[in-house]
Amino acid sequence: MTPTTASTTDDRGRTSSSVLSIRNLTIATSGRRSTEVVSDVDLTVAPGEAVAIVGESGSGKSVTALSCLGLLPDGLVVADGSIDVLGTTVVGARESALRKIRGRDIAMVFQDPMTSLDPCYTVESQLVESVRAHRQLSKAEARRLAVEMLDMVEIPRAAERISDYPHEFSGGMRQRVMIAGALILRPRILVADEPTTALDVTTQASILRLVDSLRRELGMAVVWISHDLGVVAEVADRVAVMYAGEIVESATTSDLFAAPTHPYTRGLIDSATSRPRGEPFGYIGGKVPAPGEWGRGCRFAARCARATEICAEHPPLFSLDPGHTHRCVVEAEAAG
Amino acid sequence: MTGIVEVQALTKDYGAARRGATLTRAVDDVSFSVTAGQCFGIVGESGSGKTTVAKMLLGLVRPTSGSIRIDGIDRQTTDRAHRSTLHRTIQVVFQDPYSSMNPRLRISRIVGEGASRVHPRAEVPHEVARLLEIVGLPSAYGSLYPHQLSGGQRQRVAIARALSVNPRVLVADEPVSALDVSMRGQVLNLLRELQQTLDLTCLFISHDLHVVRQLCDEIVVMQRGAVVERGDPERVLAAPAHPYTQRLLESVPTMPTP
Amino acid sequence: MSERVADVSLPRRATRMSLSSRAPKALLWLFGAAVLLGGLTGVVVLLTPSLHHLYERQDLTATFQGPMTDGHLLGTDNLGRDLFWRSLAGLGVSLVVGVGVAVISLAVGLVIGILAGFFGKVADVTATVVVDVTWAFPAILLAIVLTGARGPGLVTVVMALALTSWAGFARLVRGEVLALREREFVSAALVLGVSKVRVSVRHFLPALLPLSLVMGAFFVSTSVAAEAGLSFLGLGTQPPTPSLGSILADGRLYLPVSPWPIIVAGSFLAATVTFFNTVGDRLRDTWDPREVTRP
Repeated sequence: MTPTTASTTDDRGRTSSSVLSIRNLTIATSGRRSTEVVSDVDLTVAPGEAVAIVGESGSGKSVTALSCLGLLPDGLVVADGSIDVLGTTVVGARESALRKIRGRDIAMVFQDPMTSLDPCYTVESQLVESVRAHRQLSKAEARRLAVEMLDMVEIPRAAERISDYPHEFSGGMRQRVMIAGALILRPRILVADEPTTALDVTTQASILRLVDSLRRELGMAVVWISHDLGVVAEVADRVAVMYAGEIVESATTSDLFAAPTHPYTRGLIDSATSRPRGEPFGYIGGKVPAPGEWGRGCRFAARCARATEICAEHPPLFSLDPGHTHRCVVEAEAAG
Repeated sequence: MTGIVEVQALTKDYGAARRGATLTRAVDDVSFSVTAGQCFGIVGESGSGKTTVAKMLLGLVRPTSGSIRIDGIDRQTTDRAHRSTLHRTIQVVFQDPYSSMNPRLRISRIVGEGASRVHPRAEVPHEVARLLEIVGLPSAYGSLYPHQLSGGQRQRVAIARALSVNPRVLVADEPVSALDVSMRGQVLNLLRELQQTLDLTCLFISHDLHVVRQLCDEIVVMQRGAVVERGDPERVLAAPAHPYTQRLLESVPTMPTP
Repeated sequence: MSERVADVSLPRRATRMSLSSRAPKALLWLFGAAVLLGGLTGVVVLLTPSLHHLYERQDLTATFQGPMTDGHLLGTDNLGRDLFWRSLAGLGVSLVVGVGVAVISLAVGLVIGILAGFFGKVADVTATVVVDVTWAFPAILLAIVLTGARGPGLVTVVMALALTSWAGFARLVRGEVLALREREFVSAALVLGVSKVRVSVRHFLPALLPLSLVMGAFFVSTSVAAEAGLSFLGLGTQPPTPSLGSILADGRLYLPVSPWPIIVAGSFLAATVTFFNTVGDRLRDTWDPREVTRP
């Protein structure tokens, strides 16, 4: 499933057929001594496309996702760049304008469903409330829509279970309820921030399949945020690898796994590769630098076996193939 | 040949204290035997009972029925000397490197808590430095607090603490699942290296079939408290016999190999 | 995920008398210095018989004087005794009672709470019964009983107040310990063979310190007020040892003649209670788990 990628990613994705477009996004802590947490991120998502942002803790992937809905936590501000969701400019938009696009145009599911479900209300009242906030429907109509949605996320006996409270659902079912809540207004974009990390592998597999089939069925784009390359490989058309606040490599999923170019991507893949018994496990030495400790040069250089003097300068994005970019000077020079 | 850890018909019920309360069987008739020097894997998802088994092995939870023998000693023994031997025989590394250390104590005291049980007080600082070195940390880290370390470094400290009493069996309960992917390999390699150099027996508890295959000599797969499959991990993963193992294997997301 | 470092849910304000959190720090320091210095002076005077004349000397020719008269900074009472020194000595008594009650309550509460939360079912059930019974027992009733049994006095007051106030704290401690014992570092220590007593001392007590300090401040403020109440009723310290409560009781009889005894002793009492409440509030705000983030 990679048909739309070529037309959307060349020339850094400047095409009109995108539902979400992030340009030069820089996010920093507010206040006088501000520290960047995300630097110069470019990302375009085409209608119906599944794009993954992969990174470890501290890479800035979640903050990037939150900024797409104008949901940055207190203390963080967009310092530069723009975010466009279906023609609406998110950066600098009023809260009222953001509320209009949230749920209807762009929705989000989180790692912990309890953070977005209120334990004090039944699933029904929460779903109905979110429908009626956007659409002029009677309670009965909204309820019918809610049951239909719960059916769609494969919750058994949806019509009965809709009157249960969030805690009465198991972890996996709760995640389905949250997905139903996110999709009830049929958004064009779903941002899924590690929605399966807290779940068991068997539950994870069913949730991944569910979201992916809903994506096709509803024709929405999905932005997966994940630390797990295996998950990404299963569900994404295109992958952006983030490290220390910036995208270090971006490619179609098949290209990325066939020809990983940035040493960090390689290291990450190596760390997650299963080997025969007795062989050593792959890893990347050192640790992720915290925001403010990124330095001027390549941010991965301190952990990189291939680093040379030229890595002391901050690398731009190099284009390898159409749609395959990376941020490694050494690789770029080797390729000529 | 009897193993260093012998588990026979182990069962644990929860919720039986009150009348009318429903009984939950967390562990159901589990038996296995771990040969000394082996790395033995217990595979399962949450609710499979794998952590409850670990807690019973460690003496943190009392079994409802069944028996556990560690190096020939009954886990339920009331003999003081035997209990003290057990404490020195079996040790643990927990999953969460954040909650497994008292945030108020320095690393040297965290590691020293165990070391002071087997060494005279004067030798403890030296012993702590040696343990930190074994797990690949500079001895200067002894003066730091846990929050000053990364997740991977904390897990090394947790391993050092476990090794401080020179145990023969190390229980590792999901020791890398809370760590970043790029950090996991180092801790796993360290565990294996220590297992070989110190002749440790390792009980590795995990939900990750790939890690288990690469690390373990023998595994049991648990589902809803019971063992559903056991054997050589290569064999089990290549040809899973139980439907649950098959489902588990199919569910693991895998990267395409170039 | 945020680590609950202290793992404490600290009690809400014990009484309403407290400086607002917006009050400047300097004011609090000044307040505290005055109360503590005054109280200490009071204690010194009480413990030094050669200084007792300061508050004991009667002068029936100069009763009910207003402040700043004849060398009496804050005037005199119905027997012409110096109100400033009497109130200072009374403040000393209050502080001794307050600190004594706080120390005993904290110690008993910590021991019983940890026993209940960590030392098995039998200890838990026993402790819970004791706590419930104690909690239901009013301090006044106990004070009357104790006064009947061993006569009124400072020790009786401290015993009556301490024996009735530790129970609520013990409950809080038990709750904290139930949460703490599930932490993996406690399991790790137990697996290492560290004894439960040692785990309690090394791992629980430091974690319970914030809660204890906050409760300690509230214990001082509530028992200062309670001591004044008991003395007002004649169940506390006996003449000639002054107490803020007994000064108030005497003053009430002569209120139509002079308001000064009530004003002076009342202000001393209010200042002390307010100060310790404010300290408790400030400590609680500092350690409130909702504000605590991972270091």
